[in-house]
Amino acid sequence: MQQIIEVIKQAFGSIPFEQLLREFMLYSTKEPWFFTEFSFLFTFGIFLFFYALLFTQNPLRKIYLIAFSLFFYYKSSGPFLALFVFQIIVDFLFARRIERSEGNSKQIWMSVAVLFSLSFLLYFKYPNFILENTNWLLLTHFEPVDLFLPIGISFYTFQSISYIVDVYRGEIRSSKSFLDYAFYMTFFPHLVAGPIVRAKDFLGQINSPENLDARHYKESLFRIVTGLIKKLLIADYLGKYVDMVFENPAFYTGGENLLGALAYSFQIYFDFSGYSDIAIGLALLLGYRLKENFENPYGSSNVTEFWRKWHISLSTWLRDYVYIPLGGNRKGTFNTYLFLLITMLVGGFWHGASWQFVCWGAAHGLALALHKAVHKHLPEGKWMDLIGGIFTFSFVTFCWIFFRARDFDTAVLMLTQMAIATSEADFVGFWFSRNELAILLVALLSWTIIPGNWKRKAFEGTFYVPSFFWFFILLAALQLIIQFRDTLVQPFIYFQF
Amino acid sequence: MKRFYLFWAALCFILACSALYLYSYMPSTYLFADQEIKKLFEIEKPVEQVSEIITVEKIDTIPTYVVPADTAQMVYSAIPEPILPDSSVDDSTQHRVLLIGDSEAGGMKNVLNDYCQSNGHKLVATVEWASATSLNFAKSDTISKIIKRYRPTFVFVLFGLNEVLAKDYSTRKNLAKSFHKRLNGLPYAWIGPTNWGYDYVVSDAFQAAADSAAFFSSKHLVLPKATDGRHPSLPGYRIWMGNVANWLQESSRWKIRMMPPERFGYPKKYKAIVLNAADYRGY
Repeated sequence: MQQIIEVIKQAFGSIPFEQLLREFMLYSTKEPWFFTEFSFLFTFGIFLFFYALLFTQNPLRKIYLIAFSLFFYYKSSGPFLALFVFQIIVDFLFARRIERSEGNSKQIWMSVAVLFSLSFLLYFKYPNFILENTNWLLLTHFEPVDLFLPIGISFYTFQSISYIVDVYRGEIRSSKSFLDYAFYMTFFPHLVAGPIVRAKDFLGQINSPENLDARHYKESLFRIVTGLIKKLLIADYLGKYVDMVFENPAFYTGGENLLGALAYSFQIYFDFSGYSDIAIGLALLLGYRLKENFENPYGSSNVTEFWRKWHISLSTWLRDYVYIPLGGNRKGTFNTYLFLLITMLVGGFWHGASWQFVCWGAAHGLALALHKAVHKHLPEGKWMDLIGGIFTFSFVTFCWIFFRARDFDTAVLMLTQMAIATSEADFVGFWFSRNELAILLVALLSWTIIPGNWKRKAFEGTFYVPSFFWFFILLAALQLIIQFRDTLVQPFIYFQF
Repeated sequence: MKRFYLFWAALCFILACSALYLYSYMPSTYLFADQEIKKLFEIEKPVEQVSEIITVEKIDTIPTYVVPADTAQMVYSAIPEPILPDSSVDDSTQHRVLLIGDSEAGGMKNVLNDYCQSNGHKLVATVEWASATSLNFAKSDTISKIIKRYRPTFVFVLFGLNEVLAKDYSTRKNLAKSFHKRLNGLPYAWIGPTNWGYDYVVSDAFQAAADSAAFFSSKHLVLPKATDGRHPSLPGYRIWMGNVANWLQESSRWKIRMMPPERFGYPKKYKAIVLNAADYRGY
């Protein structure tokens, strides 16, 4: 007991309180807040305690949650908080105006509002892409600009556009309460990397959060723990090998490049789905349900199914706000294929300002169009599903190479290495020299074959674990992460988009 | 009762994070299934305080080796015959190599560069921390930061000469263990210091801290000395590296290709970082 008291004294006496408070309150570019930061998890616990106290005090609860969300965004993005708040206020006023307008003026207000939202994204994300291509086309010499991309801008821009368009279409009423709209936009679990939440799915929940019962409590903690493990144990571990191979593909054999691409397929999935799991779990603890963002996408038997299961909030957004407004499948076969291609090009361009992302989007767009053209002529059955699944996974992995490589040349070099320098010996060598990684890749490949409903049953099995025991599960998971983590945790891949 | 689970969830996060935070401040480390339970962060003790317990006698007391007249001839014939790589060595694996160590690493760096280039590896950087001991390597963040910066896939470690007379086995072992953690799971070859007949505990302590078959003890090697009486001569380094290379290909934990170089004197393309423990203890 005496020793414990000594440890507590040392722990809390080692740093002056003022210094601790200053470090906690100020934004640090070196240590921005992620869900994986222990300081965040501890602060979230304190926040949740007071949230429980205010749970039934409706306006106070909302204000408290908005304040915490803004603080979270400030700790992640620093001064860009002001820009974010400005955008929320202006979008709220635009939506009110759109609802009051009619006819042409309504359309004009909607266009202005969408352009306003997009202007921030265009300004921060695409100037260098525009300058580089202008230089190339017109032989000009514009210097690239040094701009910091505000975290989450791609996500909250799409979110605000969906709100404005839905109000314009009359699918939802504009929020009369600024507090409600600010709550929807700032809600921290989905703020920086999605899922992209639609106003029509969320605004109705704001004033009546679900009470946290035993089932929801266990489900929340399960999602948070699995999300942390997916990100910090699996994705970051795979990332070490992926970084090495993508840095210098020429240093590695064709087989090693192939396995590097395979490892990246799993890395990006576990990274992003891990983030989504944590976001969904945190939201559920607070009484709100976010839609699923992934549903076993690598188990898909074709590309269309893959896009129904991968980053669902983005793919449905693209469907509802790009593909269908373009004409969807209502304007003839050729146009349907063209619209699919355009939609996926927009999706690729959303991910980043480079031709690699455009190509990645184009490849998926072409594959979707091709699948739409031939799927009626394909035989059906379990074997076809299996063959289709292998083909789809291979295609998706191939496309990820362009998505991850630092430039086009690196992607081509990787593919060249795979084509000309692959032999059986590469895989035998890999097995012996990187045994743990090889076992992990085999395990992950096997995991993709397991049907989704089996995984759901296993997930529901965790509800039988007693409530108090979840404390130990959380503690064990956090210790496991400390045990195997890197010195520095890698930021979530989707934070850069 | 309605909000019971909200309060309980809040306590789960607060208590779990607090427990891990407090454990970092505990003086001892616990084991679970023979594995050390790692701490959330390491509490750095001031270097000055720790250094008081280290007693390293002056290395000047080592008798000077008499260099034979026909050194060059003797030396080149003493480079061991190469042993062909073990079948598990993947000839195509090309590593980004980092060399970390004291002044002996400074002497070894050019020889290692020749071996690396001849075998398709790339020596990306060398850290020559003159007069440094395991204390510097264990207690400072320098090595972690260099590893993060240069992203090696294989690390050569070579230090211990400046503490070769030490007799405090457990202190050396603990320091070596702390340093070992800083390698962060990277494959490595830990080479023990040269032995002029006075290595009491250092090589044994390092060997105990390293993973099995990852430490190359140099105690058995008799190397030609440089005129300063403390370090091997250039031919001495070549003999040393020849032995290390054979061990690397044949019996080390992480085998890599290290055949003798086709020639010595490859261009030096690596980043050479030179520090001195007299005025730099690490950051």
